[in-house]
Amino acid sequence: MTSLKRILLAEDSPQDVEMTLHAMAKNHLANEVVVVPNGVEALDYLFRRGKFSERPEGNPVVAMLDLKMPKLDGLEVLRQMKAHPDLKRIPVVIMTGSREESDLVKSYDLGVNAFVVKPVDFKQFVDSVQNLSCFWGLINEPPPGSASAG
Amino acid sequence: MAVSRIAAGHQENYLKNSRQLLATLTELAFLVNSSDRAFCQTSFSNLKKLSPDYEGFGLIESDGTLFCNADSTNISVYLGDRSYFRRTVETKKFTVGDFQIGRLTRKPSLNFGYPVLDDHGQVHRVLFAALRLPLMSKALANIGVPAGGNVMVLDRNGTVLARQPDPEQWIGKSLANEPYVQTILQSKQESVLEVKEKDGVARLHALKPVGDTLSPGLYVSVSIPLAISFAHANEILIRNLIIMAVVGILVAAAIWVFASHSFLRPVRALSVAAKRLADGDLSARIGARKGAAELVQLGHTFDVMAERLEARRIEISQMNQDLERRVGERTSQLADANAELEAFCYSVSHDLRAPLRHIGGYAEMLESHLGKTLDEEGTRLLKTVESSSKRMGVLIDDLLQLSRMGRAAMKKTEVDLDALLKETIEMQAHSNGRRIEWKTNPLGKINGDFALLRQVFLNLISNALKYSRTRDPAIIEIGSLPGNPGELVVFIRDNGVGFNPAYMEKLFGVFQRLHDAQEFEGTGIGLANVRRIISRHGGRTWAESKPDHGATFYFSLPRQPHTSL
Repeated sequence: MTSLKRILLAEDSPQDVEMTLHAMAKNHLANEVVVVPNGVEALDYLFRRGKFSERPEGNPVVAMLDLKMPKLDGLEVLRQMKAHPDLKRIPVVIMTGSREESDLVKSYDLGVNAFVVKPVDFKQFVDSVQNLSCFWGLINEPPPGSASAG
Repeated sequence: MAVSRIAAGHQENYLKNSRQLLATLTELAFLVNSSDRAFCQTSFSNLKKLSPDYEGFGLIESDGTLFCNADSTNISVYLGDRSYFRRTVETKKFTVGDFQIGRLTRKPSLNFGYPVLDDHGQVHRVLFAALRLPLMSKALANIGVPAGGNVMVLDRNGTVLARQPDPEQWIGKSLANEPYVQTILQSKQESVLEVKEKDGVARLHALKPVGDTLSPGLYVSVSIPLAISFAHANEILIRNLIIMAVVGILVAAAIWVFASHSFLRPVRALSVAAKRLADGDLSARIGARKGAAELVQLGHTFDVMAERLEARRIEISQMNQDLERRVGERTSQLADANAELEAFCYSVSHDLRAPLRHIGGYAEMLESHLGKTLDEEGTRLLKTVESSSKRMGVLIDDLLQLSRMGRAAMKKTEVDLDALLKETIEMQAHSNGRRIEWKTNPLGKINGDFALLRQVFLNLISNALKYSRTRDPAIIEIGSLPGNPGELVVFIRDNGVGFNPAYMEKLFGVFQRLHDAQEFEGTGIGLANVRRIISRHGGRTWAESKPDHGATFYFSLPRQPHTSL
């Protein structure tokens, strides 16, 4: 197994977090997953500030952002990431509960790398999460500056 | 402005005739007291020649017998029962009669009576003039009454004296039973009423009494279809009120010509003011003036009427402003409601779906957590939780689709229904080895939203396939019927299980199903979508069936481009 790469998961629903982690565990993906409950903490993590000022260096290999989150939503985090020279290369996956045309357009306009609608069917949900984490965590070659936890 | 031109034309006519009349009327003093019948007859005969608008003139004794007239010395005629005679004797004033057919002339006329008083102030004789009615209609002919409207002169009983258009059909007809006529006959006040008439057209009736306010001699009525009056509320309504006023004044003027010697100057003042009024200068007034009492009265009436016109114009313009403000308010309310609905749908699709996903997900996680310790009943219960949450998800999706279908802007183009049908059938052709007999007939082209109409065909054809799957072969026929003029009716017929026609209307409702989900899958949104799309195109949807004998679904589309709401 190659070096383990860090995944950032910004998701406000503890159930979605549990289901996502469950799906990843089922796939025996051993990536380190950093979970934050809103957009503010996601940016704090990325900028290594606030409670994340002491975190190890290096960017996550992928940021999975839920679209609708309290304080700062996924689109705003995406916008700030793509506007920042140190963060703009980090692949961003927007996760959403429903396919809303306007969200899709806004996300791509902001330069999103993937847009995923969480399936209602649990089996499909598990498949999606597994495919995503497998692709971004293992197959895809991340930009320079990404952290290796291994 | 057309109205002023017409008004001026009328004035010229009436004034010309009036001048001729006047020349002869100067002899009246000798004439009316004359005991020489031959002289009387000759004078009236000359007067008649000079006054083509009048059918005749004459003098009636106070006992009602004719003393002389313009046509004949054969005067053994009793006219004491004529309305103008009776009123003149009663009031000792100039009066206007009712619609009548001349006893000597056999022609319809409107008669005026003028009292000839003796030294004691008693009515000695009644001088009368008979105005030709067709000429009166002719005088109204050039008035630009909008299509579907009319202008009429009525006597005090509500009988038509003159009318445009179609004077021949109307002169002599009584409108006394028409509610709007009754209103003015009773109130004797200028009135404006909205009336839905027998021909189904709602009209605005403006009525105005002419002459004495307590006992008007005539009424002028102008009717215009409401559709027109609302479309140009300011312009046309005001203009018609002015037409009405001008006609009223001119008819009155013609009467006064006969009644007064010193009429010219005041009448000219009236005419000038009427013209100014017609030109849109609603501040035109006659002002108090010395002269014949009747003319001063008429001038005063004119001023009162002008006041009212002006007040009405201000009222209408205020109403319009108010209307605009309300339209603005409603539009913004509507926009707010739409935005709210949008937000609601967004929230439904995001927030309601998440817990559903969790219910299904946790049920499966519980299942895998329990593993082999889970017994058969436990598995069944968990499966039910999963399938119910899935179904709820589908229902939410369908509902959102229906909502979007109703709100999305329509993009109208020419749609080739035959190509659309062919495409739809090909999309659904994977029939799992079923034998399906397709019978398609040409449908032609129609103006509509391609994507929405495709949804209609898709829903109806997939329904036909679904409910005929127990048939071998399934027969599905698509074709068109003539329908009402200007519309195309398309039908889709299957030989499937059909439905009880009593539930036809229910079928098109949201989430209405006539079969249970085990028998035929679905959420009951397809036909609701069809109805919504078709009605947005301005068409209708309906169905026919007998249980077990197949079903036929119909929808109509207007052939003319339909303005969507």
